[in-house]
Amino acid sequence: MDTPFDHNSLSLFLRTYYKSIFPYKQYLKWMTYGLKFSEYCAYREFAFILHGDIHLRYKNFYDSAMFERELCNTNPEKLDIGAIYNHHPREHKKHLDMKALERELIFDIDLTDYSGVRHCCGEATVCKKCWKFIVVGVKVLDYLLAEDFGFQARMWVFSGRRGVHCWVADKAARQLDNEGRGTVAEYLNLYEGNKPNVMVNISDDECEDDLDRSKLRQRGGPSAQYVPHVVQRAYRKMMESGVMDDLVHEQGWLSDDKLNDVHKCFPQASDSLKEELRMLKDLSEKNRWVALKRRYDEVERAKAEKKGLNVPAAPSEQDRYFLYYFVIHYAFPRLDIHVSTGVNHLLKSPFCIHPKTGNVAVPLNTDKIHEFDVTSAPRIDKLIKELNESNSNAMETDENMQSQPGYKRTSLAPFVENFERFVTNAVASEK
Amino acid sequence: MDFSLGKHRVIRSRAGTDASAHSLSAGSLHNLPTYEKPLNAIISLPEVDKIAIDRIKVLKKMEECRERMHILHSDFTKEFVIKPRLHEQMPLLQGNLSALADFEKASRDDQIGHFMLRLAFCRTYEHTSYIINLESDLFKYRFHRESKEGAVQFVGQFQFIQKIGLDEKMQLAPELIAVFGWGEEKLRRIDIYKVSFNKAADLLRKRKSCVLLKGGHVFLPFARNKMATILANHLKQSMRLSMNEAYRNLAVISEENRLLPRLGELAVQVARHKRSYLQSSVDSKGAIHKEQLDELACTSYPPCMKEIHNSLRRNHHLRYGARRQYGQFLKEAGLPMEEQLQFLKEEFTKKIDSDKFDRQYGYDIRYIYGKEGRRAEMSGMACATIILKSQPGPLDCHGCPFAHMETALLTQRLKNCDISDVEVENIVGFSKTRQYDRACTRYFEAVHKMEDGALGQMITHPNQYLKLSQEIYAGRRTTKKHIVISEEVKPSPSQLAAAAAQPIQVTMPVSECKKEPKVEDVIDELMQD
Repeated sequence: MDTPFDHNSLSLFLRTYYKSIFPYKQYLKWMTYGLKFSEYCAYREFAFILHGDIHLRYKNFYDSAMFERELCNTNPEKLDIGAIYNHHPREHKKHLDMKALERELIFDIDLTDYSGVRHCCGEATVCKKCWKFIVVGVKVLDYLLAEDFGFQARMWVFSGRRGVHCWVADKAARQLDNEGRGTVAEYLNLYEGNKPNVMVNISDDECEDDLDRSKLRQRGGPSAQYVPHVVQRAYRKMMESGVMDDLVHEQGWLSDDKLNDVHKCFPQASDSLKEELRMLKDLSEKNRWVALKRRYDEVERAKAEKKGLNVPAAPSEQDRYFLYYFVIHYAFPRLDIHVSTGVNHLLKSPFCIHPKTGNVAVPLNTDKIHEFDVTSAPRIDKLIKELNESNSNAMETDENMQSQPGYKRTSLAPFVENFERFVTNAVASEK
Repeated sequence: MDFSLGKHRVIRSRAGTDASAHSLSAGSLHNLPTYEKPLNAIISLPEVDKIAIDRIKVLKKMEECRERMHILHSDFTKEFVIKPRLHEQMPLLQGNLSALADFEKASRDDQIGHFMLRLAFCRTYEHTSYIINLESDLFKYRFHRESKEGAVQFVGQFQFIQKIGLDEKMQLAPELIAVFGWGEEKLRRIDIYKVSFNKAADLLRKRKSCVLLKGGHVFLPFARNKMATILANHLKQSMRLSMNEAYRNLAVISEENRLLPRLGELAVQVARHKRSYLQSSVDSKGAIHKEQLDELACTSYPPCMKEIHNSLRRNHHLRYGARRQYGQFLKEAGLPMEEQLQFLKEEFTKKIDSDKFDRQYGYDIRYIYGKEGRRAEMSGMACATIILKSQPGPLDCHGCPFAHMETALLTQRLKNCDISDVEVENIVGFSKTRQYDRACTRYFEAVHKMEDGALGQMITHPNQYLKLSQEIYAGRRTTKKHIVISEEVKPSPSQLAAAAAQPIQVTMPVSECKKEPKVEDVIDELMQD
């Protein structure tokens, strides 16, 4: 469909891209958070990565003009954003007490971490089917970040190849220390240590008279374990993401050859559940999923009952949360926690180019994340072509066009708008 | 600081300029101070000594007791306070305050002692962590001994924990009911407290505590354990902050001959005899036991041994090369022969019977320990031997993963070890360029969460790896980098050509470069005088 990206001409493209397309105005508005450049952004570490994997770390800029000038002069293949330090990062050798003070809270989801459940594509390749993993991931995490932590300024950025990065820019998030970041990440990560973490023990600590242990236990199944409210909400969010059905079918999780392994995601599966799963073989692949939902998903059961459909008996206490394990095992976003926990971790900047694919790291519209086509993302060579075409048109028609920022004359424009919404929230959090 | 000179050695501990510092006659009935503000008091040096030493005695006793039982165990008070008669040193531990004749003095000593120890232990990271850990446990213990009313009142002193009003409670009713499983009637009766999520981090971790998190706030009823966690966490945070600040200020206050050396001396002596709370797996004779192997494999094994250990657990068998490599390693690490025999036997006999094991494999193990054949005890194989002398075949699991394992598999293994992708790439890069020692060293630093180059030496022997790792867990080795001089690569054309060039990093061990003399050394010198 598309011509593959020609890596060799990247350096040529980069020159034009940094000169005429990169949205400096919005970018710098974000990085300064409405403060004076010299007070905040000047302490920010940037890293340039040049051809041949040469990393130039500990860069900082003293004003906006310098930032723009250095980008245009150096044309880095990759641009990383680091932390705000207590000294200018360029002087890191001078100060023994160099310390990262704050940075955005970040998350990284990469499709390569979905081995064992992603069957449509191999390691590095990505297709529209794969993207649905990202859709679920973004929806559930974005929801929890907003609802539970109350973070307002959130941005999800396509990483340029096979993943997304999340930037949370609320002041409270930026000021988290490593431990605080770890807490947020651990709270959100329902798929830790390569297994779903659904149940938690009712610890002896809960043994206070204020807490109704019997109630907890009732909600939580047979042993002294229960499913925390947040896990229930996360599960529901995933089921309502609109792509679960597609994922189940397109990835073939219930296909003949994979059906036998399904119970492995649920260690406490009873024999009757295993038997039940074996019996699913008699149904068509589509109906297998419907049958599972109708037996194990409360909402689905209620819906079917309302319609007067035949609803199977409710599952036993032991198997009650089977579908939670299934959905979380197969589709919960696989977070790279270490990216999130370090204040000083470097992360690829939005609007930087992925050197292998030529794709721009574009901020996404979270509400319409399912509409994003990962196979035809904005690519540097195409953007430049669009810009050139509009330039030649503009000469004939409209003087006005010429004065517009470059990105507006390319297909990058809607993504810059996504970015602008985020920047507005980010700057607002500073006040 | 205001120090009067001359004979009367009187110091005034600083309380900041604001007048809100605790005054002694605050009339608070609390057994427990908030430790929010240092006390303003005039006190003589010998008294400082006594108070600080008494407090250390209390903390040391608590440390000893909590190794045997949890601080909430019903016998803890008996062991910790009553038997050693510690309430004589710290009357507040007695609990019954109304019976306490000199409450004000006890309370004052408590606060002075606490802040003196902050000063005494602020000089190194290890000392700071040590005292923070003890103080926060002592605090927890005392908080749990408070009456319910006392505890509620105590919590009320902190700004960051707020009881929410009825309106807010009713707004949150659906969520509160969903989380705690109460009825509406009960909800009305129960007080709900609100605290910012980063103040309740320990409760949120892994969602293990039953609390409601909404909009960045944690909502919870007055559950003693949870409040204790929040308050102890707060104490830790403020101790860490103020001790860091105190350390910076120490450099400015040149007061060498009076208070500070005494305090420093105190800390060094205590720390020298401290029992690490991350108990070292190696006991005094340097021996390890087979029950520890699984844990050591997780925390402290080099990747080559981890590979063999896991393979053994998985397949209940090891081939000759692996038995040799692992057996010699275990021997050198201090595992007694009988235990190694048993350890392998337990695993092997899942597949073969025990007679066959004795016949076929017993000899090799006894040989390693010098009990068979040429009767020479063998030591652990060095990396060079492992890499060069015993090329593993396709069915083998021994060898050096960095040298012998396929890149894809190595990458996968590394990713499973909690190592960031960037580090994995680094390590695999070293492995590809045959710098196996660097790969292993970097791996060591990554799994121990150390800075690049912080180890200050190359791994060249699996037992060296094990030893260093144990030292780190025992707190005998720092994870911070010593001194690094790094040269930013300028993007000049010539350097661009040398594309493979990486930032040049020179790591110098502390011993080789000039640095201010260690506090410990100074104090040692002082003590010899």
